[in-house]
Amino acid sequence: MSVHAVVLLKEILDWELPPSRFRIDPETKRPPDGLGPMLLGPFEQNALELALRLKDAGVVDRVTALLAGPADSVDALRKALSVRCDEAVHVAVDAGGLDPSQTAELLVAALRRLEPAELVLAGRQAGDWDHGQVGYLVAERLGWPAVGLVWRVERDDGRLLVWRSGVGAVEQLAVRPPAVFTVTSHPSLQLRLGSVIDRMAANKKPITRWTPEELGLSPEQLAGARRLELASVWVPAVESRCELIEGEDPAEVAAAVLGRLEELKLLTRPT
Amino acid sequence: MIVAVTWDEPRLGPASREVLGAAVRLGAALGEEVALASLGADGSGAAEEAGGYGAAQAFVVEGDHAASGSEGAIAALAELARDVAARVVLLPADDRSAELAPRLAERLGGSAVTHAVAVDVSDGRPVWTRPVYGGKALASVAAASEPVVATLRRGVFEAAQATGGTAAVSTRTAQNGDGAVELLGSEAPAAGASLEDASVIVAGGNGIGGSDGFTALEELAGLLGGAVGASLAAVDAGWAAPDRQVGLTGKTVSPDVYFALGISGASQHLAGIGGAKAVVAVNTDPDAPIFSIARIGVVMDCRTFVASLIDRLQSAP
Amino acid sequence: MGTVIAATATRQVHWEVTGAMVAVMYASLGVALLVFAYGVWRRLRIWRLGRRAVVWDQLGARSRRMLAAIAQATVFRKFVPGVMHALVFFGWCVLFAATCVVFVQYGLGIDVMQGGFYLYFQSLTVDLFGLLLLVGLAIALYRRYVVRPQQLEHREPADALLLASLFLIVLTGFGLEGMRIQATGDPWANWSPVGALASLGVGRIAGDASLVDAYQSLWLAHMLLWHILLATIAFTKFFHIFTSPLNVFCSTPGPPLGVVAPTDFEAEPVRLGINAPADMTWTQLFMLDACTECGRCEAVCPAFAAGQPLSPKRVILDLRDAVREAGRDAGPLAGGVVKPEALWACTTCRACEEACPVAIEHVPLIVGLRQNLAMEQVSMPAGVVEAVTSLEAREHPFRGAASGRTDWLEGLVVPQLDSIENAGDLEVVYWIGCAAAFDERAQQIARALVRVLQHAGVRFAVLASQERCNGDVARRTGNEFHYDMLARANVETLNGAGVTRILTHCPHCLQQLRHEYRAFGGRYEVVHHTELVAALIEEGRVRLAPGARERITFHDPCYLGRYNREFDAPRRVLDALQVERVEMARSRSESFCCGAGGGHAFFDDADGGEKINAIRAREAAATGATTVVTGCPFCLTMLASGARTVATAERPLQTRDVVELVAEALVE
Repeated sequence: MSVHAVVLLKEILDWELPPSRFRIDPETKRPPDGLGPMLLGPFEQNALELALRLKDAGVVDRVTALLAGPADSVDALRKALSVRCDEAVHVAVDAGGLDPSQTAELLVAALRRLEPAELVLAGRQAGDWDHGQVGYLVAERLGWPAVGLVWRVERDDGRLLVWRSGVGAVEQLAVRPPAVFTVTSHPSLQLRLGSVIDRMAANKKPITRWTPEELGLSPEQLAGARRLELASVWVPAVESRCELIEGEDPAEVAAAVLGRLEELKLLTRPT
Repeated sequence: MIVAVTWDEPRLGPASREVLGAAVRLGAALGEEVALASLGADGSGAAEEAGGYGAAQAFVVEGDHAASGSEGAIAALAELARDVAARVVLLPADDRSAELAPRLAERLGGSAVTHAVAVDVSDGRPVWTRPVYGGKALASVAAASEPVVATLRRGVFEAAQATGGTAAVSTRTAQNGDGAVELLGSEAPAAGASLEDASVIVAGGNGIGGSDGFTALEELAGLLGGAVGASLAAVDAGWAAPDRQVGLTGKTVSPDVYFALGISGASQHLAGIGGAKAVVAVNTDPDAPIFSIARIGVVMDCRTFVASLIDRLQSAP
Repeated sequence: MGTVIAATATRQVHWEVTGAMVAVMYASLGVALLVFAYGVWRRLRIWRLGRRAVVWDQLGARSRRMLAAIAQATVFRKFVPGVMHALVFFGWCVLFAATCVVFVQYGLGIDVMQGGFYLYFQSLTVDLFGLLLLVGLAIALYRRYVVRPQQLEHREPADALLLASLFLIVLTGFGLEGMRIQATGDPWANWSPVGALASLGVGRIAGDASLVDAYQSLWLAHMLLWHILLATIAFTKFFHIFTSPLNVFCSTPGPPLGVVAPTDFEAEPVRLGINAPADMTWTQLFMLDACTECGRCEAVCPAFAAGQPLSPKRVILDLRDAVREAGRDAGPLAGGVVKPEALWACTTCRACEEACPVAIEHVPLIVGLRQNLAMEQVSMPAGVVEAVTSLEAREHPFRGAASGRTDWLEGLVVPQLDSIENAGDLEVVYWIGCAAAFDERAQQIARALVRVLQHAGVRFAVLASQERCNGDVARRTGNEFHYDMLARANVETLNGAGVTRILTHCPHCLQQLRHEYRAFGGRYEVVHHTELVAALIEEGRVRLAPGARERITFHDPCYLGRYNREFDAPRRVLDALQVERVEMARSRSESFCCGAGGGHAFFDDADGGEKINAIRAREAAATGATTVVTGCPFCLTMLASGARTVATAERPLQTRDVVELVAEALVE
């Protein structure tokens, strides 16, 4: 019995784009085209690497890469094929205008048409909108359990053991598949480079392409799935965010720094 | 009803008071009352205090929610939210609510808004501001359907003020999940653990001046529950082991706080700390490049700063 | 010794050598030659496994190099081994010639062994050279077994056997000569001084006993020993007699040096680097047999010196042994016969090739093996994966840079190529490279150079955002696929803009633009900034006011010096600045790598001993210099890092680029 896993992919604008070059077009509420390269998102890369490791380890047998996005984001699917995903599926849609709920709707429809999967892996959040919702919404609509911020998975009889990042702790859970995991970054999850043979072959492999209509979602239905309305997007005025803490007395300065860090909830200390 | 959620809080701590404060102000603007839901161990303490900070009701949800991952908590909160006809549910943004909020919103047929840094009311409904594009921009969003489950970025919302009021406290029991997810164990990462996993990193550079300086950093890291890092300069000088090096040819780290002590901020080093939530830079040179990417800066000899910080941490209650 | 050289001076050839013995000799020679031929055929089979390679170009240069090697020029780079080998080599040559003369005399019946020729050559010269051969062998034995330098193999019994055999052959030869002289009362004995000496000894030992039996036995023994040696040449280190000079002929004669052969990705099936003998060229397989196991490559290898698991000698010998044992099926070579740690430790500095007396080219072999590891096996250090991933996404290897390629130009008035009306008016296009774009320290090199160019009134422009990484880091780490994309794209950009003359401050960019882009249709005249600045100074276009006379040493970057043979321009610039210039022990073509090459600027090796850059910084400090100056942004970073390890408050060590010193000394 072949265990099937699906990885949800997304292409976003290069997150290492220098802040000085970043702009938002107020009309489209998005960065204008061509600011920088469009790349497979960092957490999606982690999810893809985790899926491949699970395939290497025999925890899953087949991996399908699934992406809902515009035509040129197919590059991310080629990348997935070049690292030995078995199949790549493209749901053609202008993803920039969709909210997480609409994206999830498309992905769920696609998942229902694919060979039944035991595991769906998604990045913890996409580096453009940073909502961090799609993976969980997919789980809810499929009626599956979801575990977030996972970086390691092993098989234990019929269950999957996962290690995930909890609040101030690393949690280990046992999950009965099918399930959705969202994946967070971890040193072991740097996406591998594909072999040259695989990279060249990936350019020739077929990619399944579906439109929302083919998946049974009319434009009205898709519009109706929206849960968030985007009013506006803007780049805040660039000020050096560095807050200088000054003072003559080092003890006071140290206390002030600690205090500020606690205020910012970056340091939790017993109170 | 606006529901503010806290977790594992025997008393109403600063984090919870921020969420509660946002709930109270939002409630006032929408004409809704505020309820506090306290989950987890010893939740009753927080619930008792809630009334004193503007909550009209408080619920203690008993039971070991974590045992079933988030399943139990989601089910409990969903039931509670329906019972009180919540329009908005507010949670602190953390690794738990990252998973919980979108699923809860879906169960309630509503919308989730994550990492909110501000909320206003317009035309009788909340409008949320949240960072996008890795924080390079801000977006203003509104929910298309209610209830809204929102996670609030910490350190941004003003804490609730004491009102001297009281709230009715009731207890509910959480249901257990269907067993699809089971928590097997959890462990806090050891202090001085790997740099990549550390949530606090104390890193030393040229300004540390010697290996004794690094001994002080070890002490500081221990007090903060973090790990010690080093710049290439410090490793070259032999003050720190090569596996401590952060940067282009060293480790890439993403802690909550990165103390850059006596580090100038060469691009080679910055290449490793892009993931840090906040950099605290301490350097005698006010023009050092590190300040341009730091959240908090101190122009001071880093050794003096480290000594003062250690003193403070050891003496504070 | 009589002063009359009688025309009749001669000796009896084959004294007391019976017809039967001669028959045995020819028979044995026949067998020996057959075995020898078999041995050569065995080797030939392996060489034929390899791909074709061109060795018929630049015949003049190749021949000159081979003749120089035969004349012992390359061996003499190290004095004592040079003396040793020259004595053995020339001694052997003369003795072999003498044997041939005997054959001509006896076998062909031509009377040449007479008169002056007999006395001066066949007697005196041969005896002297025989003695010198013995001296050479004695030096060899002493060096190998008493001094025991680390670079020599110590546990090979064959080495001792070979030296001992040669020694015995010569000794027995002298013994035979001595016996003959004693027994025949040779009047010309003194023309063979060693033989004469031997004959005295023989006389003392044997007295009046008949020497004939002993002579005949010794003669057979001497002959058989030599024939055994002859037969086994192709199976022992002595094969280098043929393969070494031929390898010098086959090796790359001169710049371009170190150019990696492009991979044909259209081929079916595509060949990704080297993992089997059939992936190597026949010249590469041939060169494995040219190795004399001298160990000079290992002795100069910076990775080896830093305790890394790389020995260039072992790479060659392990490959040689694997291929000899398993032939076509030897392997897997990449990661198997040669371990990955060894391959990744290489900085591609070419010190090994420079030191090799028989012109073995280790680096293309190592890069070829890396190609297989990277492109087929997808096994490479994490730092390489990150750099290549960044190249793929952003066309530069400095991950996490979060700055634009042209950010450093803000505030500088620098003409951009696409805003120039007539590109033909320009003297040069200044290729900035990634280091100066993304690393602040390297940026200072570019700023200084811009100042100097503007001061000198040089008409130049930069390509700005149209540049992308030259691809060297991808190529040197075996990632040819990524390199191919970058190189083609750059050539398209440069050709499209009509660029013909390029200035660069980075030797890696230099190597790529000047040599390696040719294979992709890029033909440019490329000048390194030290060359240009030296020319500007000499043409009087730069006015300098030299400052304090500091003690400075110059570190030759590998890709500027060993790869592109430019050693003088930077020194001419420093001399124009009137600094007190001192040389490190290892300088010019023997420069010790800074450790950044071969992709190492982007990843560190596992802990070994003292790091390469620290070793070099220590060497710089030892000259007493307070500043080490170089001409490469990566050397600069590495040396600065190394300097922090070795410098003290009392003995600081600064690191600068040549052009920074010039910029500071400009008189505006």
